[in-house]
Amino acid sequence: MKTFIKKIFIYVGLLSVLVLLFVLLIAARPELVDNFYRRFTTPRGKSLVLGTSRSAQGIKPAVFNERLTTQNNAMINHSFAIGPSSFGPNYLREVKHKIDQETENGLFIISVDPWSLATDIDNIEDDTAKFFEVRQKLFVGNLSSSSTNPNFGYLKNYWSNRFSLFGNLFKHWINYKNLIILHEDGWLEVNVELNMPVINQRIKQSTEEYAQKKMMISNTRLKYLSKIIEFLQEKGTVVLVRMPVSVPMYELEQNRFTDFSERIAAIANSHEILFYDFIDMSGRFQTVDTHHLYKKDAEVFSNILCDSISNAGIFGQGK
Amino acid sequence: MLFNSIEFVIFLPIVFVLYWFVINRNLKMQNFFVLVASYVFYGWWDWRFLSLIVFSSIIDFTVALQINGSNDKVKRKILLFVSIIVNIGLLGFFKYYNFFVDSFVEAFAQFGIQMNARSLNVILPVGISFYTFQTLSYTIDVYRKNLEPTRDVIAFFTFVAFFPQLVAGPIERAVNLLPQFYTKRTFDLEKARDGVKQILWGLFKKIIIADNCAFLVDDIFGSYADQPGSVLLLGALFFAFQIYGDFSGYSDIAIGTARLFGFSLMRNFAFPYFSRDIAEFWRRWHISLSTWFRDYVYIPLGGSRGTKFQQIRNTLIIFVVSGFWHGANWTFIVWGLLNGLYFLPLMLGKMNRRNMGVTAEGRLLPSFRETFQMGITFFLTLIAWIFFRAENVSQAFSYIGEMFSASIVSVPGMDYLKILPLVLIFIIIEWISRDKQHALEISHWPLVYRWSTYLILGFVVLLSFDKSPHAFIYFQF
Repeated sequence: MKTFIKKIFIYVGLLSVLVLLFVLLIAARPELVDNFYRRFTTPRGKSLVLGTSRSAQGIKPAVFNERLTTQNNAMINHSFAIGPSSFGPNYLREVKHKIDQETENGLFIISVDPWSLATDIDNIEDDTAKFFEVRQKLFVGNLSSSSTNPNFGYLKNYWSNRFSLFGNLFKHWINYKNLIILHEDGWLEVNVELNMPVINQRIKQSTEEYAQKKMMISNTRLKYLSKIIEFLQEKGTVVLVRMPVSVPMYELEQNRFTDFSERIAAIANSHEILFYDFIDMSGRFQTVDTHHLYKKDAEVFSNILCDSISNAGIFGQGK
Repeated sequence: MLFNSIEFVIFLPIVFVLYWFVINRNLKMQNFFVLVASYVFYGWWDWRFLSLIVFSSIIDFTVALQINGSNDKVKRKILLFVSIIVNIGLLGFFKYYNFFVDSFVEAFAQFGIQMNARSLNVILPVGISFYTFQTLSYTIDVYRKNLEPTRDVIAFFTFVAFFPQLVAGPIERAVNLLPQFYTKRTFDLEKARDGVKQILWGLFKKIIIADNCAFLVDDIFGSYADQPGSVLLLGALFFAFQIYGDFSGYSDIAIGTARLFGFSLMRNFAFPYFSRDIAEFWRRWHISLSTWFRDYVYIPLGGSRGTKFQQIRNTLIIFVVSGFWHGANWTFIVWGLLNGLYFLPLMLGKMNRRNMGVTAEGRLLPSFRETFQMGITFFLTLIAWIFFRAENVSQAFSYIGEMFSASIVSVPGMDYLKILPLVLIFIIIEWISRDKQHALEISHWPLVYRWSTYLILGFVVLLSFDKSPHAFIYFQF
């Protein structure tokens, strides 16, 4: 019996060492986990980019940190994707988790698009309980902390494919050409070959999928957008931005949500903040699919946005 | 309580320590402790249904003693029928009531007669099919005078509710398990060590193989009308490994756990997918159920004796009943019938005992002939599994029809191929171990390789451990 117990202890001990090494690897290389996790491991932010994957890939905090913000109000991108970070109660909670409570002069760029402010047409009562991210209990807004490394809450409850870490480690090691890198400042760098036939096919397919979606603009989501603006206004300067997309997606949005920009402009007016509507610039930037700017154009766009904010003189004095 | 849950991870060591270190001196106390532990294990799911296990235990304990105490043939037969009616009655009510009601209503509706029978919202008690068969076999064995009934009520109740195999088998025979409660158990290092390995292998089969396959199987069967034939073929293939990993994984954990407590349970799976014909498959798949039906249904019906008609009838009955045992759905009946039809030519040609030994024994690779035989057998079971998995019979036929369309030659999407390497590795490991009781019988390996294997397996199992684990498929039976 003693031998058995001893061996079991040795086995459990060795297994614990393996697990510890695994946790240390995650702590050292959080970007290997998935496309979201690292954002929950960085310290609370003083300036934030909020929105979906459009801004996650299309707005580079590094540009703003170099030109507009200082170390005291450095910017991080805390955008996720259409599923988890549509505007609603979850994202409001998440913003409260991620913001540095001491912040007084932050810059908050909120990227809006019709899809992240919409709900299923079946949700006639516009009930938050029927919002996808609420129903599915997605991670955004549901973690006890959004700034601990390692973030065990996320790893335990929301990391479904834990073996992907080894695949990602291998991809980084061989410098895989289609690597996706989640930077420490929250910018999601997506490396894809600019193979136009493939990209055009992707744009066509994805736009068709979105065209099939039975969704309507949600007044409840718009209210939550307002709540987020109000909360952030106490911490600094808030701007709204509508980013450019591919031409087919632009046409779809313009046909489907004809007065979307006007409604956002009205919200901006009511809160006395600026709304930068770049949707008419769609087609002037290279996208990798129907929504997302190519990484080099993300840099260009971020500079344009930075210029606009800087020229408006609403935030800081520049560097 | 599920074997792949955090509750069981806590439960098992506590029971183990108390069993061997605190109440190891008194056999009756130890048995009583196993009984309490078993009831806790079962009651964790729903304590109300413990009453059914207790009731079934009381009936069979009492009836068996009465049968043994009587020489009156009629009385003995009546007592046996009491046990059969009570056990099958419980099973029939909880498992089949709605099926029969709905089937009758549908059948009468075919003739334009509308019936107003009402389905009940009956919860199926976990493991009822397993423990009712186990207690029944005890009474039948006593009736047949193959077994002396026990007067040790604790031992008998523990035999019925023994937690490692209570909810999904192996369906034990009293002649094997019950005497183990009469004798003092001593800790056997080899047995315990092997038990832990078998638990580890079972967890790997369930958590890594079955649960990963389940994810794709649910997706493919849920959208089969939109999938090309090649993906549907993969769906059937993955289901074959899902159900094997799930059920044989459960059996491995059950057998391994029992070994930790000094008990030996019967083998339930013997690498069935390496079978060279369907008869061999059924000697290797869910052995405890197949032999139960053989001993208590097939042989009493006459078995393979009698006229050709009787042989065919007996064979089909046993396969259909076996299918029906799995669940109250026509899909299981068709699954059973199909296997019966596969089996018939072998039986009629007296070829059903042709392949008895280990496939390709003593060789690394099978011969061309063996490979062909295994391929055909596996393909036949694959087709049958589609009925087992489908929601209804017409869906199964549509699935098979779509699967054999021209699109079977198309290339499936990468998402569906991702776990194929995992399945292939699993097949290779199983193939290497096919002459063993389980795949982790690797004591002859050098220490470093052996421990590396245990650690890698433990690590991947730990990494995949889910806070809301997937239930075992056979719980629903």
